[in-house]
Amino acid sequence: MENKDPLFENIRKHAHNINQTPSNDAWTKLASRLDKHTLPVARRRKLPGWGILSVAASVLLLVSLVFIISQTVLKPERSMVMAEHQAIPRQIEDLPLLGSTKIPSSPQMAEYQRKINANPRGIIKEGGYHKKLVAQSINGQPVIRTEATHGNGVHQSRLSDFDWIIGEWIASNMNGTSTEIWHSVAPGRFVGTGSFINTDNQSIFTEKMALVERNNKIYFEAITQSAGEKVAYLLQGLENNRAIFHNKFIDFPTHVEIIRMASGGFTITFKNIPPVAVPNQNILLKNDRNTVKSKEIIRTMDRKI
Amino acid sequence: MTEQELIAACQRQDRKAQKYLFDRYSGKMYGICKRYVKDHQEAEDVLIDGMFKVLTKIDDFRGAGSFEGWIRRIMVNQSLMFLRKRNELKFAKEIDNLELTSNVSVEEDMAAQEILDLLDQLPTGYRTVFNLYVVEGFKHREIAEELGISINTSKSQLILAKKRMKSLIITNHHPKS
Repeated sequence: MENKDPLFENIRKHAHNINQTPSNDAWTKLASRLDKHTLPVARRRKLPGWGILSVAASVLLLVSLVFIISQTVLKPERSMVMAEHQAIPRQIEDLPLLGSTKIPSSPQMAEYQRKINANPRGIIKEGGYHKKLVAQSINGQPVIRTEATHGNGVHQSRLSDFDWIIGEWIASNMNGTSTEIWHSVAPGRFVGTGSFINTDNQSIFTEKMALVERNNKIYFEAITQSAGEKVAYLLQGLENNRAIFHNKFIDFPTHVEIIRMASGGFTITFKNIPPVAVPNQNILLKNDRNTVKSKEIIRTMDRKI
Repeated sequence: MTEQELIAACQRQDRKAQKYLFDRYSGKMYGICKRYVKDHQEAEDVLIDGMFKVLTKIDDFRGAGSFEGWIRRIMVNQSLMFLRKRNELKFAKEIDNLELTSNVSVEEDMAAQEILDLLDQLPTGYRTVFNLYVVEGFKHREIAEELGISINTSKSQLILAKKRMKSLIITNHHPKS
């Protein structure tokens, strides 16, 4: 309606066609980034026949050496554990984000990144590339603890209390579909990747989370594509189906509450205790994955069937 | 070279085609980045990031809608991501019942540079909402979702941006003697 003001209509018309020439360096910088991105392919193309043979021979030699060493020095079960851990992201920072331009640290990570980008919904299929990542099966039994408080004498909570979160979760609203995938990637470390796909099937953003057991304490960590910073919350209490994590240094939210619902889904609530109004200014939790209420921000996820 | 041929060549990572695509669209796309990001160098960095995304994700373009529209959307997203990262998206408090009361009629046929100069003088929050609503044609609901703000905040920002813009035009064109 206000766009009918001729001034703004005029601005709209002209702004659409603003054409500004970037510096000559712009293409050079972009080309250099593209070179890095496509380097492995380009190098392979330039190798002459004997070069390929020599590389193949070297690889064969290397593989043979590794095989001999693994058979003679390492115990079989140890080498299997190592192989599995090499293939999976160990730290939340290592986990690739949708559309990330960070150079992957290993071929496995490059493959993982490619799959994440190619299939942002991140569907785990039995026998698919994610198989190794689903190291622990879903714990069918509900985790019930009464009167348990973390680290306060009653009994010690363990990361295994959150085994139930491993797997795929989904939620849909009028704007699109939110997915969340949790894996056990190493002893004491679960990582989760959340993403949102809008109704035009475009990926809007991804979000990384982790549940980590460190020095007998359990933390919920979150890192978003936009913020790029990790925020950690310490498990403060775990009772029945409710876990509360706390970080007193954050203005909002100071608490993250995860509740496992009887329906099989879970809710994650970001809030302050005592409650305060959700700040007006732009905070990253105000996104399509979450419902913003006056004093808390909630996300409800259902188990993907 | 037709658009389809250009896209196909870029999908094969043909460097000449990528350069051609850059030359063809970089002017308009840099214009978009500069509407959102004031600093020239930073706007150019956003352009490079956006074009990198375009060229490495070109397989994702399904041909639904215009190719230029797809690139434009990536540039807007890239600009917003930059502003979020820099924590530059600060929004004034919601203002209830705020009307655009200025009855000054300003109707100027403005050049591109004049528009950029005006946008440069707006606070980032005003400029972003103004760009998204007036130029990109987003609805307030969409802006609220994109920026993580309420619909009322989006409306307030737009009204304040328009008021500020009108007063800037009046000052620039009719300076007090």
